[in-house]
Amino acid sequence: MFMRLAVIVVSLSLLGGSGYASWYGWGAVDRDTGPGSMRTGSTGGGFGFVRVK
Amino acid sequence: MTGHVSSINCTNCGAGLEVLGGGRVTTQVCGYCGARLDANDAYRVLSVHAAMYRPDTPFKLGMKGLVDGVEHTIIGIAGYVERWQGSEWYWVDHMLYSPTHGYAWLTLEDGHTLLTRKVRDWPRGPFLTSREVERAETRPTREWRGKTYVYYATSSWILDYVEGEFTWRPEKGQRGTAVSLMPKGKASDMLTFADGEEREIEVTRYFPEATAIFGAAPSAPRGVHPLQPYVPKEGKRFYGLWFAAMTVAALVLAMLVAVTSGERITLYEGQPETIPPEMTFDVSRVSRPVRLELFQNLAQTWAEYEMSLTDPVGTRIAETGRGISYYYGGSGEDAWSEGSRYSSLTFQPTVPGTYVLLMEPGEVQPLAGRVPLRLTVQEGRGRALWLLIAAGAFAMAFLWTLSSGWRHRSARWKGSDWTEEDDD
Repeated sequence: MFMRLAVIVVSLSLLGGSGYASWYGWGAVDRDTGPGSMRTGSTGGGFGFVRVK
Repeated sequence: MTGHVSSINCTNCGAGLEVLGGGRVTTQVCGYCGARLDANDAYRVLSVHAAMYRPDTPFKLGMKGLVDGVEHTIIGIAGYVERWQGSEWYWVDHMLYSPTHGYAWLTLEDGHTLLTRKVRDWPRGPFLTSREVERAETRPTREWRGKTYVYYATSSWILDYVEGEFTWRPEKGQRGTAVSLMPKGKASDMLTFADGEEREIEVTRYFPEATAIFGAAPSAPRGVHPLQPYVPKEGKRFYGLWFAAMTVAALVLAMLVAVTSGERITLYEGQPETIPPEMTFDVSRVSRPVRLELFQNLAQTWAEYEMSLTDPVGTRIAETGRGISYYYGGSGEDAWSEGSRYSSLTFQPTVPGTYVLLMEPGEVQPLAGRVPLRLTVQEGRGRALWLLIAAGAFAMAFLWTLSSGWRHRSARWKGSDWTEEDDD
């Protein structure tokens, strides 16, 4: 019974955590954005690399 | 009239030895000095074993237990070893005796207990030897009592320890081979063609209750034995249903994240040189990211755009640029492509309101300058990736639970020494 309880708790935690991260778009925001963001480089060569702060 | 002898003194060392077996016992081996005594000739010493080490077994001589409702006594213990390519396997056979049902073997192998009896009604076909197995192009089979037994393995054993009474003449160092066959499908029994002092065919079944029956200390089985029947673990049904439900829940939530993103609004669509220097868009929800997406149907060229983004209170959110490039070539299996016709800028909005985007072409190749550009904005962007990863993990757990029977069957046949190379 303890094992089942542990599996339920871990599963729901995983579902809840991944749901929260997905809903709020964790990891989706580009690193070169945000308050106070400023240009520090060039994409160079025209191959579409993202500039970083 | 003959009397019944219940004990003797070893004629080599004088130790008291119980006489437990029946009339077919030919040899008694003293557990104290290792002397082999001829039970048919006043326990005359045949030879004396030196340096025998008692194998680890919870069973002892004289232990009694009901096997299929018939009392049997452990009368002899024989330890075996098989050596192959630097590896060693050990098992212990315990000879059982019943005055009404004769002799049998109780085997302890990797903590698993097995019961073996001689077969009187031999299977059809010649006695299966290791030589015949080596010559066979397909797995040898034998029919017995309506079932087809398939070749499993050949073992070349060496007798490593003997103690007690036996119906044959055991001697340390004795060698023999045993060819084993099992039915396909559910584990039930194993047929063994034993080729030692004499040829015998034996049938072995899994006998996990042996330690309890004989009052021995429980043994801890290691791994899956070839004869071990599959017993679903407690809660398999629950875990299977649970992980299936979690998989579905994660997928449903992932879809929910995707469909609750805001409407995709086109800010601009036209030639790159006519991009308005300033574009605005409204953001009402600041809890989830906003995505600006560029699309240009480029081929073998590239373009780069400068972008500056300011929030409703005048804070600079981004001062950057994005490039689009797409190249391709080859055909058929050699076809390749590089880059993407899409590029995006995803940011976390700070406050609700109107955001200002300043955008202008940076370096745009002449060919790219003639291809229309589309710029869209979408707020409330989630990232379903995390839920999809969770769904994958739950699905793996579900499949692992569901496949336990298959994995058990694979583990049972894992020890088979038949390989396709034997076809050569």
